[in-house]
Amino acid sequence: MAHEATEEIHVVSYTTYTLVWAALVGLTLLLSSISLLHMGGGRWNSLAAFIISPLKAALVVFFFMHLKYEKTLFRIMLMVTLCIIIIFLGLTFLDVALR
Amino acid sequence: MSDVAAEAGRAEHAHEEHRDYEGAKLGMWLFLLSECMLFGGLFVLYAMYRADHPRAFSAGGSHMDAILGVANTLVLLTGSFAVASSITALQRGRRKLAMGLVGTTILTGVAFMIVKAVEWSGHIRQGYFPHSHLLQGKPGEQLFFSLYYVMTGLHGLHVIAGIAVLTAALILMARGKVTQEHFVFLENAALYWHLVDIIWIFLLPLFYLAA
Amino acid sequence: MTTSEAPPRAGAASYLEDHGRFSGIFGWIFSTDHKRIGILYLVSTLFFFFVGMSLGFLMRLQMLSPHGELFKNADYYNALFTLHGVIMIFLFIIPAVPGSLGNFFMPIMIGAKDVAFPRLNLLSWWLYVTGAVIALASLFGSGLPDTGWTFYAPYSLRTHADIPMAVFGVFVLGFSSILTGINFITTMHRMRAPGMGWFKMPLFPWALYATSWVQVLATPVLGITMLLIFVERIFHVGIFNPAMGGDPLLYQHLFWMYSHPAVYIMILPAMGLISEMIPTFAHRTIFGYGAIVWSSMGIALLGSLVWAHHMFTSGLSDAAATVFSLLTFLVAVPSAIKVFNWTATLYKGSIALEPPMLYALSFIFLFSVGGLTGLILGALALNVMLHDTYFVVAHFHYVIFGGAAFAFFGALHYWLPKMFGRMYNRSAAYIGWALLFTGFNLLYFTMFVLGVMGMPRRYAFYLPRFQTPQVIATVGSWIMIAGILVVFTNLIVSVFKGEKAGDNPWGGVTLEWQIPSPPPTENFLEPPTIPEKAYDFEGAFAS
Ligand code: HEM
Ligand SMILES: [Cu+2]
Repeated sequence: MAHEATEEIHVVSYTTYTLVWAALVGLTLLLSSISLLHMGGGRWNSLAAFIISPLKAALVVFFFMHLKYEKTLFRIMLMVTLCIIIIFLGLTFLDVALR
Repeated sequence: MSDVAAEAGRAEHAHEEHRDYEGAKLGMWLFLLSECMLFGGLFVLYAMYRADHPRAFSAGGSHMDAILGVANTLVLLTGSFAVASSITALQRGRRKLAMGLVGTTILTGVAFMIVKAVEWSGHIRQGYFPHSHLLQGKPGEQLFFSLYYVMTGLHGLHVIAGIAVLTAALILMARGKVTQEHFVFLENAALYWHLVDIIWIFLLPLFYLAA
Repeated sequence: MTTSEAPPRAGAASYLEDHGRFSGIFGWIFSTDHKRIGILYLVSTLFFFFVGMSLGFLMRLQMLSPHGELFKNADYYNALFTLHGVIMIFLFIIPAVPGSLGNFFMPIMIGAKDVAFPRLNLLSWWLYVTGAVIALASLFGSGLPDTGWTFYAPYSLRTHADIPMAVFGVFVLGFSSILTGINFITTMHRMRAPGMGWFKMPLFPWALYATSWVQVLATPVLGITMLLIFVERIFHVGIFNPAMGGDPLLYQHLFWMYSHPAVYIMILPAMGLISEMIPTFAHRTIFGYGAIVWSSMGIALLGSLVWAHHMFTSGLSDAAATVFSLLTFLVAVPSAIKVFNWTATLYKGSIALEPPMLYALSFIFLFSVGGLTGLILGALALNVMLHDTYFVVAHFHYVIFGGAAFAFFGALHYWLPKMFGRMYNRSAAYIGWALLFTGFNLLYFTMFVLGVMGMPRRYAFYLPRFQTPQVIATVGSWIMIAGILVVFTNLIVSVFKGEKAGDNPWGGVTLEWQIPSPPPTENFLEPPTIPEKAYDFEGAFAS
């Protein structure tokens, strides 16, 4: 009959959320200016997307979705899922790229 | 593994009205992981087709309105921020504030969908859809637009579902069913919304910044 | 051996008696009791098994003569194998064990009162029924189904059959499967009785745990693949259609990313059942508990890395073919570990050849045949010759029928006394098993031979030189079906008329044997005593 409140819960402060939100907005603007203004002649375009997008996703997952405050189990579950997607990508690419 | 085992010891035996905060969250996370795999299949397709047709995908990207895409990203991020804060508000007992924040998120969702609709109809009017004669003989761009409609379309369906779930949370808060003590419904609704947000974070560079 | 001294106490109404809001049939189809939902799944999956079996029977009849015994029009044969495949896979074997026995016994075996989300559980069953109805409704659409259960593009994008309806049905079925998986994982994490540590859990729950992960992570890939076929047909986008730049091989990749792991959704729970029956009838602790647990998880993980072995002749890149062949050989390791553990458990055991044990032993044999021929198919050179022949058909029937379905039937003989409190007629059970086992091998072993001779699968007609083995196989199918009829007549009669069985007719030591048969609605009238370790027969006999 647990109250949710009786189990250990972590109340995240508004400040944290605001900072995360600001970071997300900043990263979005950075990413779009890199690719829209063709910084570096467009060479950095996909590299930026490869780094910045996962970073943004991680911010959402860790702070907005509270993964930072959850049990290890949740992190393992997420890692396994991501690994499987990456393996699916890799093994399929092994066919498509070398066909 | 050890903390999992320890936690099991605590797992109280089921009572008539079984409430398990951790369990509810675990179930929601599992559902979200399966959603990740659903979109994962699409990302695999996108990656393979883009590897096959790099130039056509870049050409396809040049038909996108990047400004609208970025604007919509900011809209979604703000909605995520609001719904995350609403949990804090509810936990601190500020129900009105929490409801206002959830309402804000719902509005951002609606705004997002309106922008989306404007975009889609624009593309279709200009003839950028998979079997239009404009793209005839351009297999790469046909694929690009097929994926664009399918992926943003499926994402849009998720936004609509998210709006529905958040509306339910709003009603439950108003009726006093979701409260300072029992907020897991709101938390799960928010988790779902964040997932929708994350998927969009990836869709932005894949389509709007692909040029 | 039997310890059924405790008479049922007052208030211990069994789950079979009505209580709660609804009564009669509504008391069942709206019940959130995991045991009742288990029975719902049992009845519905067995119903579809019988439909599928009848279609298989017709297919074998057609094969009696080279020019077709039943019809001269191959379209009907195409419809038969498509329906047979879809029904057996999506409506029978995938939901059967987790849905019925898993729902019924997993919560009891871990000392829980119900699953974590009882209402979601009921929703799963309803989605299953809805999906089944939608998939079957596609029959009455624009034409006979003719794609096979695999719905390969680009043919599925062109055929007249009502593919959008069929794939939408499969999508809904997949959703049902995902929800069951989520429910089971959460249940095992959150609802184990105090003292029931992870490594005290019996092996059937463990097997379901591994299965559930596959269900949660692999099924969505099928979901998206089916949705893509759906939107391609309805909205004319081009994802897999080569005429619009699409790559049909990517369809196959996505399809098998689910459908190979799906093989483990079928076989892992079945392996769990075997791990329950072998110790009970050998009266001996399972050999290598930890190895069995970890091999289940290993199978679940490795099993998601081998999908393209279904595509060796499709024009896959050589590099990919080599890697996938290697990975396929690797996945045999954890399965073999289990087989060794079961046989090692038998060693020096005091073996009681009760009907469930016969099924368990035949499982070991049939599954080994299926598994070893799987290695033959996984070898690149041999695959070129055997691909799409009857060899493949024989291989997967040995694995999913001889393996998964035999374990399921065995477990029905094992747990029927617990589920309904009644015992079946043992002689009839033996006769049924003997017919089933003989007919099975006659039918499918002959198919191995036919495959090596070059008989392609999914063909309605064949060259005269194949006729003798084809007739033998068909006779085998008659013996087998006769066996199935005996088995199920016996079981169904016993549910209503069987002698009363005690609470623990086999001397089992897992928690379900501590409670009355049939179980009370609450499962446990008092908190269960958790054994020191799983399958502790010494402890059980000492007390
Ligand atoms: C009960 C008696 C059964 C009989 C007589 C039978 C017979 C057959 C036959 C003759 C084929 C077609 C071979 C071909 O021409 O390609 C077939 C295909 C198949 N069977 Fe069975 N089978 C039976 C049970 C099962 C069971 C229990 C399962 C799974 C749980 C199963 C799954 C399949 C599948 C997936 C196919 C492939 C369908 C396709 O090619 O699309 N069958 N079976
Ligand atoms: Cu396979």
